[in-house]
Amino acid sequence: MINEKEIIPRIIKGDIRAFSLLVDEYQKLIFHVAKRMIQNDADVEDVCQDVFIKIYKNIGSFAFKSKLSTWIAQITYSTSIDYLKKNRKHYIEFVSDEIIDYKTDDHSPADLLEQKDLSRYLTEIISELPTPYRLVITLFHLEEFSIQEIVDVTGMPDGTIKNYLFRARKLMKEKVKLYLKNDHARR
Amino acid sequence: MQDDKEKSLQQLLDLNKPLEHIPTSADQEDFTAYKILYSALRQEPEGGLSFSFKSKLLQQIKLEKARANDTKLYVIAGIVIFIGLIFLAFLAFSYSFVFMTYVDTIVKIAVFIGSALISLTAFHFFEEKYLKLER
Repeated sequence: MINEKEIIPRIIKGDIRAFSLLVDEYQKLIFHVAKRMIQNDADVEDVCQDVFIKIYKNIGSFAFKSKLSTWIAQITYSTSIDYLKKNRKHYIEFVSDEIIDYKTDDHSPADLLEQKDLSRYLTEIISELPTPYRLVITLFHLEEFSIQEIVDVTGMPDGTIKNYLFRARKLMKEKVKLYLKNDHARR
Repeated sequence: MQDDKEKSLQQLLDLNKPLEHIPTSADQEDFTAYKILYSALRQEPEGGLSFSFKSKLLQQIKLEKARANDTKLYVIAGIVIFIGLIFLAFLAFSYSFVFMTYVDTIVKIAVFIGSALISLTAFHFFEEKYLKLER
């Protein structure tokens, strides 16, 4: 764990070693957020590089009003969205129930039976969720951000975030239940 | 109604309460599925950044730093030259009779300095563009 108050002034002065410590500390967070939003590994690496360069250039504007991780996640989120928009990739800012029903109900029980590994299956159903759901799920469960921190990162109202969390988890739970039933029938 | 049940199960798992807090109305299948899901959501996505990522990034940062220093230098040089030109113009007005005899040489020097400055700025501009495309 790095001492932010000690390391940030060093980075502002141009200390590359201090910046290297920051890279070690936050590369996982940046990778997780970018990976869940963009998914393609090669593009994710480019976006992560852009994020770190933005951090280096703008660290002087970090005013310690939030956690450094929140500020970094915010930069990662906006850079990933810019990337998706620039490359005309599919990005839905607000998700309606109809889209979800269409997007996640395309596995037949036969497909499910072919999925031998539950964790791989779960990874797949997470990747099929709409981008905002994946982002909210990642920040809340994997990075253990609070709802307020997710509000700060995304700028979405807290009601929307709670709703996305609830709906995404409910949808995935139904998939897991179906998987477990099929798995039980197989045995 | 169903959503309320789902919400209470999710809240329970969010708060990480012990098992005795499971509402009696809750469906055991739902609870088991949620438990599996919650543990899967805490797992990191597969893969990661390449081993060379950090070294490439730090190299890029060093380049950015050098470029920022170059830009500062260009700005300072620009200001100094601008002040110098104002000073020369002032001298030209004050001692116009002397300047008239050297006007040819002064114009040649001014053209040389001007072209050098324009070339440097153009080089810097295209270098930036090229590096952006390379990235």
